[in-house]
Amino acid sequence: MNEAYAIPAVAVVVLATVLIGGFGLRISRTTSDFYVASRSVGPGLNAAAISGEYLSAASFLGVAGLLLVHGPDMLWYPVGYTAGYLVLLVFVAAPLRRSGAYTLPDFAEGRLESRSVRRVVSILVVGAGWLYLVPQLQGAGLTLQILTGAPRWFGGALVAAVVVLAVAAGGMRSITFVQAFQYWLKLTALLVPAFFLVLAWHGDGGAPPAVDGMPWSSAGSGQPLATSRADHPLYATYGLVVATFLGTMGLPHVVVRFYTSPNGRAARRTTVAVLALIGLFYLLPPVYGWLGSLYAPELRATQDADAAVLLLPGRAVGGLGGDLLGALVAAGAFAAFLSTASGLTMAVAGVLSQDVLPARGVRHFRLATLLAMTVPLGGALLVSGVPVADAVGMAFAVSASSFCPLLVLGIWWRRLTPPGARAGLLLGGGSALVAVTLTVAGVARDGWLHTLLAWPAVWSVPVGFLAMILVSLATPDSVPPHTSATMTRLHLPESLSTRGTIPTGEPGGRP
Amino acid sequence: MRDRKPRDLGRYPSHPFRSAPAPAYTPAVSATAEPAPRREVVTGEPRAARRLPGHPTQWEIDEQTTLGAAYVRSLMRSQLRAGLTAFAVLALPVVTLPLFFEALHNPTVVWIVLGFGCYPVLVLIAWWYVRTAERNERDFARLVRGRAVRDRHGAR
Repeated sequence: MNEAYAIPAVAVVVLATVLIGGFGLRISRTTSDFYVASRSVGPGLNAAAISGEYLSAASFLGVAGLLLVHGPDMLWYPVGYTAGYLVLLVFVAAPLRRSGAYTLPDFAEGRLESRSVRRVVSILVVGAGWLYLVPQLQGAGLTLQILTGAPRWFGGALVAAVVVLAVAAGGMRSITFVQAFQYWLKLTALLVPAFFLVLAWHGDGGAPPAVDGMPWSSAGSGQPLATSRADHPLYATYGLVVATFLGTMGLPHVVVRFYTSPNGRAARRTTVAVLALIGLFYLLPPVYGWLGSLYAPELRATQDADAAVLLLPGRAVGGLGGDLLGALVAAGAFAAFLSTASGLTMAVAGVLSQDVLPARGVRHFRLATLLAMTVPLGGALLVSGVPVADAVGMAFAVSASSFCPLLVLGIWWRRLTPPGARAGLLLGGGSALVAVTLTVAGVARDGWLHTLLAWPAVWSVPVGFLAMILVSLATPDSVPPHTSATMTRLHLPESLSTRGTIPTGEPGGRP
Repeated sequence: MRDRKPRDLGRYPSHPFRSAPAPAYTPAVSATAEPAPRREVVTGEPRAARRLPGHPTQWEIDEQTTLGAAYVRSLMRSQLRAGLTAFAVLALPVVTLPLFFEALHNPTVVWIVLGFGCYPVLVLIAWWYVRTAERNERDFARLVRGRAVRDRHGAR
């Protein structure tokens, strides 16, 4: 990788993000613009934005690195990241949009008519969002160090600054444009080099020349961006599957996106488009993992398998072309950090400005943005020993064991009560959180105990569901008084639940 | 029968379901309904392709009568059935595949199935579900609105 090309590439991505965010500033006027882009984002743009937000560095770099090191079993990661959207679609997408709430705490309060449930959800959302942000910032630092040799703190601080600027400037409106742009950038940044890489591999006659030396061994001592393997791979696979399939629907930055669709039907169609876009993207990392095993096999022995994607263009193509392709990949990697971090900041800031700061409004939202980014940036600078992927997996497992039962039961089960929801959130999400915290703290390093703690979703998700159901059944008197009206609102098509105006183009609507 | 006025949730100053601005979709189920006298307008057959603000079935849903609640329950049941079917079609292969791969010991098959083959299947399941869910909603709209909608969209 040539720094002379990588630095301008990263700079262009940062500049484009700020410029597109600034464009949003000119059209963002109201509170509704800031939180949910005035609920006017159509399926195509919204799907690209959701995908751009969702595909973090763990997808862009981490999956190929894991495939290189651990083999094809790691393909469950991208499959789970994608299939999570299918589960979200069939149980949550349209009713969540129809709830009309801004954030996950809004949903909880509106459905259960309880301030205390709202508080628990708020704490979990902010906690999960920060957990997810810290590794993004650390990963940015690591990547920028590998690319340019900049000090480790610089990448995280740069990402934090750009994200705060873009989010605070235009809120959800501008972030929607930024993230849609970054999806296509990320796809291009993997697709074009992959094309030339396969051509080069073909030109080499399928047998790449031997690689000399290990020029990357000292570049970064970082952890892989996604999780490593367990002693019990089959159990770990199931743990991963449960966490990713069920956890996606509760990730705060994913949930908040569905409120930007104009109606429930559009939310559904958006999700199908997201599935297609994410599936399209995930066709590419396996190509890099496979080519990496041919052109950069020595990365297996180091801790830098994540560098495979960044390294391959230079190895396989070489020359000026390799440098340019490498710069394109670097730009895509940085876009990955920026988009996921801005989505998370958006979600956390939304919750903070509604539940913590004294008043709503644009100025408080900007203050909340700053707060939402300051804490994880501090965490990323102070705590350096937390493995990137463990924190990401932690967010998925916590979400699957707390928000997933809340959303699924809240939408489909009339007998859910506030005490039941509290019990499920605390027992399910709490036990998952404790389990992964113990893993990070290194309480159990191997054996079954380690496996159970490191992949908690297999047991913590049933705990969350059971606690919610059993406690709700034990407190039938606490069923919220307006449950029936709320359920009607969640499930009734918009075309029927309106008296006056009906949007044009709605089937079932009238002329 | 429920109060027609917007429900007083004054204890919750920022009650989200009611405060969220969604001007084009003011929900009849929870917000101000038309004045009751409008009901006497609907005495005969509804005219085709005309808005039926006082049509009995819609009114029942709006007013949370027993019959209206039964209508919504039936919609929820059909949507849940579609969701569970799609989820089962997803879950069955996902539960069995790791065991199958473990027994097979053939990396090439894993690369092909997980790397490329599964994504079209996921999109197909999603597409089927969206079609089913939208059809459920259309059927429900027909049930609620009677012939007016059926005349316009019957060909679908």
